[in-house]
Amino acid sequence: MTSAELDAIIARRSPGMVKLTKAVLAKLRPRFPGAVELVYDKRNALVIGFCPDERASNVINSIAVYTKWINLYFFEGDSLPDPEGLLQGTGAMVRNIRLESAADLDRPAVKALMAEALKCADPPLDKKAKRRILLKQQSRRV
Amino acid sequence: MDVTGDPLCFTSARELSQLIKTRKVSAREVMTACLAQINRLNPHLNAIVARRDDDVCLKLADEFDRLLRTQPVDGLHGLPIAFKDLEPAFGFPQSKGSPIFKNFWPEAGADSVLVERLRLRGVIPIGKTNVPEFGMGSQTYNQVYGTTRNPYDSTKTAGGSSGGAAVAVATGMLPLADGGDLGGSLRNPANFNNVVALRPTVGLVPTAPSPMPFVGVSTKGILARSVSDVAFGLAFVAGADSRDPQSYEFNPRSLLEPLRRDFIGARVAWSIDLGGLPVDRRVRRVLEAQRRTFEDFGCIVEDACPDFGNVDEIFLTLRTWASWNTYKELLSEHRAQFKPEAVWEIEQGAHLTGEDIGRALMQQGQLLERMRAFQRKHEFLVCAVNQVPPFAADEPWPKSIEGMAMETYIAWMKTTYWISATCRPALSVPAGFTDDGLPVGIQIVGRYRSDRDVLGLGHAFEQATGFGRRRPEGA
Repeated sequence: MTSAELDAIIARRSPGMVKLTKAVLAKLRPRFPGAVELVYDKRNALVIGFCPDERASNVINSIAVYTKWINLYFFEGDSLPDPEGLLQGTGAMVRNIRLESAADLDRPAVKALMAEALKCADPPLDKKAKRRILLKQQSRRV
Repeated sequence: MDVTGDPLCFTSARELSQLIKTRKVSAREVMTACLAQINRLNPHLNAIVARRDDDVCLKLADEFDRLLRTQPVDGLHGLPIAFKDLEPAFGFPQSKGSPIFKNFWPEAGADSVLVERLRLRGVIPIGKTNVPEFGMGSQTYNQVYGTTRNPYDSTKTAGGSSGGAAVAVATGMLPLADGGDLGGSLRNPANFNNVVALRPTVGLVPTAPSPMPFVGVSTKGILARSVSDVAFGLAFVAGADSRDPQSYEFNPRSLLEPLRRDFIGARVAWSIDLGGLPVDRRVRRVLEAQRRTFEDFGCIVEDACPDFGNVDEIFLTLRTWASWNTYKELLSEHRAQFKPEAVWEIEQGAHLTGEDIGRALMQQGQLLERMRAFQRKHEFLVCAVNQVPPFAADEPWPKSIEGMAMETYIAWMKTTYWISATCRPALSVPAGFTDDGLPVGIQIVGRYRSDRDVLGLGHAFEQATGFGRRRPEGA
């Protein structure tokens, strides 16, 4: 899948969400050099996971783009140090942070959580690899 | 069978309990409905054995109604129950499905912890549920009470060893039932009869009395018609007891709260055949269609399976060693009264050396560690409960699956006993039917002591699919 094809999927959102999604991706991509971006174009959300390979279970962080906001997901969320209590959710391991703007990603506590998540990556990212985008699921739209 | 049961027979245990407590329905009315269902269906299906007379049951129900008017009552007050015939329960015979014990009546004070807790919580015991001889084999037939039949097709087996319990619950004879699971004895019959059962984490429900309390992977649990009712029943029997050193403290209230949970991003390992076990194509077809259900919850579902290594050696060594030490004297005295499969199992244990036992225990330690590492990433493992649909009731065990010969009388149920060896919680929940109408369940395995999460995912699955709402014809 090309960046242009992903952009076309993003473009189906409202103008505000298109802008927010692009801004969030612009902040995230440099933090995951060499990542495989797994794309799930679901009925209720557009999900983009940042993975060291094509296996979804190895995902480090992902974003889910809903109609009015974006959630940033952590998959080792039950074990990450979270002194500010940012992580939300009732899952056993998965936690999320709601992003109101791309600037939320620059908050030191969010950066620290993402750095910890990156340390948990198994396998680790191959920073020399070329970034790839892979469409894993596309829901039929009526 | 051209009539159907009283709606009370299929009211959930949670709701029945509430109706009785608030005196909107009496214990007598519930008992009357259940007895009518039992009298109508049990002669053909043979799920409940060693029954008390109806008059005695109704008098007991009246007594429970009187109590309700004078004092606060506990959560299971007034619900009829029949204990599994492997459990010692004062006032009832404990044949264990063996003619050797057909006239054995436990003494007062000899109740198992499970029976004791259920009684304390207010159930009304009306009988026992049928089992295979000594609970050996997942097919409920014995020389004392005969064969328990599957209500979806009475020419088929009910499974076992909690076979009588599963049929009684499936047909509305009882709102819930107790059971036990060493190699699949809760999950298999639940699967074969379209009901729900959780094999809990080892130690969640005390298993005393036990001849070897530190050895083995035996568990006790509850069968019911919904995940919510399994959780409800477990809330009253879970938690530490000094008679079982493997049991542990647990907050039972957590099981009474709604089971809803967020499964977005939960990583599910999908392996219907646990990495290559033979699975009947009818079962595989039903289960593969359900992968999408988990994806729709937002789960990350992918093909993955833990390394089970030499789990067969682990399970069979420890099981046959325990059987030999438990039954060797009995076998030498009453050999002619044992079924051939039981003789085989017990005698397998006679040849084991200390080195064999030590190796099996060490290998199990390695398996537990591999499973822990695997589940750090994959919170759940989803696989078949059974490798076959219910088979003929007059067939002791399936001799082959998809052309592959079964090497032992329990080889057809590796998808359950492999999981048992990991000590993890595992749920059997209805997942569909074969083309000829036989139930097929799906098995959800969770992390160690994460029983509530397993129940949560099973509950979500049940709500999304609704297969458990289908009742046997005529029930």
